[in-house]
Amino acid sequence: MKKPFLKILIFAFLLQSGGCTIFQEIAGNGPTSFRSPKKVFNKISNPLRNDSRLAMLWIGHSTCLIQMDDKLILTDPVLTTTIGIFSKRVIEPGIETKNIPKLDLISVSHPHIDHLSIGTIEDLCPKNKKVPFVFPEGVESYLPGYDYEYIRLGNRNGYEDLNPVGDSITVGGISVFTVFARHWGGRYGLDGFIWGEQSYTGFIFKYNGLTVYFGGDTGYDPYSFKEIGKRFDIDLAMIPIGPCDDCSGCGNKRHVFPEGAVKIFLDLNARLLVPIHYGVFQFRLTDVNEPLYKFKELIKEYGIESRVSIFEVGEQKSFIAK
Amino acid sequence: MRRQFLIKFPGKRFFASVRIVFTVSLLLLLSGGAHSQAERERTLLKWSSWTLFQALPSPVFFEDKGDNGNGLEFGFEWQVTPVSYTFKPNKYLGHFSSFMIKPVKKFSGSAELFFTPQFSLSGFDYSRVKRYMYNAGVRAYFPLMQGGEYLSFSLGAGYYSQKNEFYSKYDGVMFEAGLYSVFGMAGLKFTYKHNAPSRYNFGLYIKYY
Repeated sequence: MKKPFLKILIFAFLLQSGGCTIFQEIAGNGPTSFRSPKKVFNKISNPLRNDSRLAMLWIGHSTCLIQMDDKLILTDPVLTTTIGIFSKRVIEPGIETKNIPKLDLISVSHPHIDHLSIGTIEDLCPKNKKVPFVFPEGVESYLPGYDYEYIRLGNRNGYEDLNPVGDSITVGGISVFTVFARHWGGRYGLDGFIWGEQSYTGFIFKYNGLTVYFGGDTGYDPYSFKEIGKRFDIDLAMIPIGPCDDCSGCGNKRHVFPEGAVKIFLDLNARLLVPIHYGVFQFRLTDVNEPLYKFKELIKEYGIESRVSIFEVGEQKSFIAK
Repeated sequence: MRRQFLIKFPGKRFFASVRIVFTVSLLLLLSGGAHSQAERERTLLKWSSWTLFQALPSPVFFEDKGDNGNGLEFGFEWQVTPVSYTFKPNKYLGHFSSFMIKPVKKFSGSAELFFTPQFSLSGFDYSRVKRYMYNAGVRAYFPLMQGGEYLSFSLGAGYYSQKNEFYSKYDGVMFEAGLYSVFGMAGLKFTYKHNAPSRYNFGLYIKYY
């Protein structure tokens, strides 16, 4: 009885060849579980920039604080020390939760544990009561009834047709569009893997003539990003570049690697690229900055260094001055 | 008469069948790697895999107390939730759920009707009650950490029913308390059955959705 049982177990684990499954996250985080996250020194205490029209503070992974004139948008809020209980941050969040000013918009691209932290949105809620909180359909199944203005947006059943724009709404003057992403939804394993949860999206934010693209988590598609690029004049594109061990190639069906990120950027025809989704959580056994090393090589090859801005966790940059 | 205190564990055949259920469940969970994600919600797969996961038992130790001694019997119980009421769901989710309960609707604060069939693997040698029994009642969950996703607790009360070998019925009031983690899907649970031959039960709580 023992041998067949072991064989089935080994086979099951071999099936886990790619993607950020809960199991890989737990296994990958083994080495970091007993270490404290690396300190971020000189964290910004007041991220509001009166001298800037478009600025961004990288809190880490996919959590970004975007300033568009007088509006503040927080993407994929994760500021907790751990995600999914077991996975620990490699580096602290780039700002203390108490120093995040009252926000104008919070967005969640999908419910995976590295993009939605219940603990974080619980902590942010007292200062942000009734603040618009946008997400693609399906994410509502993972949100407690906190006192935000929850806004569910359509994502065209996971963007199965050729239209890469899902839904849109204007809240507090900020226009929000859900746009094509190729990923998967769910949070607890089966719901995403087998039940086919499609709660994922990318976002376009437009305000006062400024346009920002937030990629969430996505694979590459040769058609859809070009279409998005035709429809929106994008100033800033935040695009995931990981996770990956061997970061050569465009990526897999559900994640882009650095080359895929560069292709998305070129397809979008955006002015500026900020790489995200690396450096904070140990999804693989290799260096968390492995995607960044490859990315730096590629932007030289493609000759786009002047259009790329690489952030340190906790760093804030202004892209367009007043 | 001197009282004995024994702990009994189940035999090989039982563990073999548990391994099969575990393995099939694990395969279902793991077989959809990132490269083969579903493109749209698969209702049949959803309900069939959920049903299979409900078959995963929660291991429990039962007190076994009789005139001739005391023992601790090993067994299993299953968690069935016919109705759940979420105290404060978001505006897109209703207060009520039935059987398949979204974890956030449970661990963020809820009350539910529960039905818990229990089975002792080795039987009750001292109290001579039947291997099969059940509890049913109401329990409420309260979040402790990270909205309850990291840690939540429950308190409950209800009715228990057991029969002995001569089909005499023991029933009465039971109380329980639980502490849960891992998205509310795993925890520790303690049950007290007033005046029952198997008064104290202690074990794990395992329930996927």
